[in-house]
Amino acid sequence: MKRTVIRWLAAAFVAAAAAPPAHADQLADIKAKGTLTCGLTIVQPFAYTDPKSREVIGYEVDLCGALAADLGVKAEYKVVAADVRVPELTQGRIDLLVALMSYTKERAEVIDFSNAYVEDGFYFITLRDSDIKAVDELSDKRISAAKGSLYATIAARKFPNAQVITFDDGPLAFLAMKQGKVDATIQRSSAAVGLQLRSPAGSPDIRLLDPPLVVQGSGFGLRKGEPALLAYLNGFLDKMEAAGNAQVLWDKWLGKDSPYKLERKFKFGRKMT
Amino acid sequence: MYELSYDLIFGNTYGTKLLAGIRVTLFLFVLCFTAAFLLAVVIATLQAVQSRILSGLLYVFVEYQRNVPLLVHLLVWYFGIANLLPPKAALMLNRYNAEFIWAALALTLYYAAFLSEDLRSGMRAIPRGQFESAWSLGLNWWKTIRLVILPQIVRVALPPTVNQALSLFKNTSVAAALGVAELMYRTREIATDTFRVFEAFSVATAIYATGSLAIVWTGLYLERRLRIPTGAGAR
Repeated sequence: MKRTVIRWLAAAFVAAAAAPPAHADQLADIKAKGTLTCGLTIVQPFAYTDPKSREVIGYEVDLCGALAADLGVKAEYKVVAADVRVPELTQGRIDLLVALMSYTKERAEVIDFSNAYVEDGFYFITLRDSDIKAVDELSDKRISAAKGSLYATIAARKFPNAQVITFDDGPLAFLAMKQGKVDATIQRSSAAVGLQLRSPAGSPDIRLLDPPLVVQGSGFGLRKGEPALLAYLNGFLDKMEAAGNAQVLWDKWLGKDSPYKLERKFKFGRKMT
Repeated sequence: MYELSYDLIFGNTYGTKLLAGIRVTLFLFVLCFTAAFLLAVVIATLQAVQSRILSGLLYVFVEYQRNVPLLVHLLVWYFGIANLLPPKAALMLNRYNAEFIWAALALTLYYAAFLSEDLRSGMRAIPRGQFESAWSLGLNWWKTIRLVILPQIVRVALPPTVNQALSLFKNTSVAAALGVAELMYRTREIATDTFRVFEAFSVATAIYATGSLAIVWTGLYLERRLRIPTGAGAR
């Protein structure tokens, strides 16, 4: 009796883990069903809720919209948590990850990446009046990061004696640094600039320590074994760059038309390694 | 086709992390349950005192704890109340793992509130007449409490107390939100490092279920040991 129950449970677990629907060709499937479901993670200004319209807006939202328009289908957005982005994709709940998925070799073994649509430096950030002036001084300090982020792992590897504490999202990790609970936080530069811009007036100033921990690109994340979709995505990114839409998108959310005023230092469709 | 593999999780690096997480979870549970229980005894006792001000204060405390979600309590303590400390004290706390201390404090107060209500209902289950009967039999106050009242309270309050212990054990996982490196924190860390998400969460499920069942069975064992043929708590 007990053994049967255990066997059923085990079978259910395995079935749940191995659920991804078998696609012949996902590109054709998306066109057939007429919708493209993009998985987004909330990071301002890439994807976040507009306080006025209550809709998710941002760089990655527009990007997904442009892609859906190019495909001739309707875009659908699904917000996913950073630390379960990959299973959301592999279990087929979304078609694509448009979720600041930074490229790593380990990740590329589980999912496929398109070429880059954004590239950003990940910096150690301290309060401006902190005693810490250089990255190496952090080797035994308390450092905050967002759960599920690439850089938490890299920082722990770089400074094995440091205490890397992860919080549920980037803004909480940032807040812990601003409140002095940790000595530094690691954030992508665009997110950090945005968090500082939105901090209440009079709150302490921050400093990004040079050099960045890592500069890494993010591309669309897709399930393995979809060569047609992958080729389509890379073609789409090249097309955006050539037609100037890439610059328009950048200027709107991160560049000259945004409060961030960041300069674009990469090209859409750059191959990531 | 996804193939399950537990090699990484039980391997050296991640296995050690997992064990460290289990240790923190158990420590958090034992510490908070003990502290919460002792505090609950104090609260329940004070509630028996006939004082408007005191019972009003305790009412506010208990209802505040019970009616606000646990996660909110943790975040309020860590990101809110912690900032009222003088900078020197805050700095020292940070040296001694401030996340753990604030999480333990929030969990303790939260469960003390629930446990005190369970103990109070245990006390109320005993008719006042029993005191008078005991005194008329010649027992003094202490003997009345020890031989007549307490044994009944223990029996009535045991099942709900076991329930709270169970709930606390599982809710230690909320501490992960503050960066306390307990079992859930380690599980998520392993999941994002290895992308063996299903494997990591299934192992955590098994560990939590094992711990919870141990608590349930301990409760059942105690209930059976304490059962008396007649009186309160007997079926």
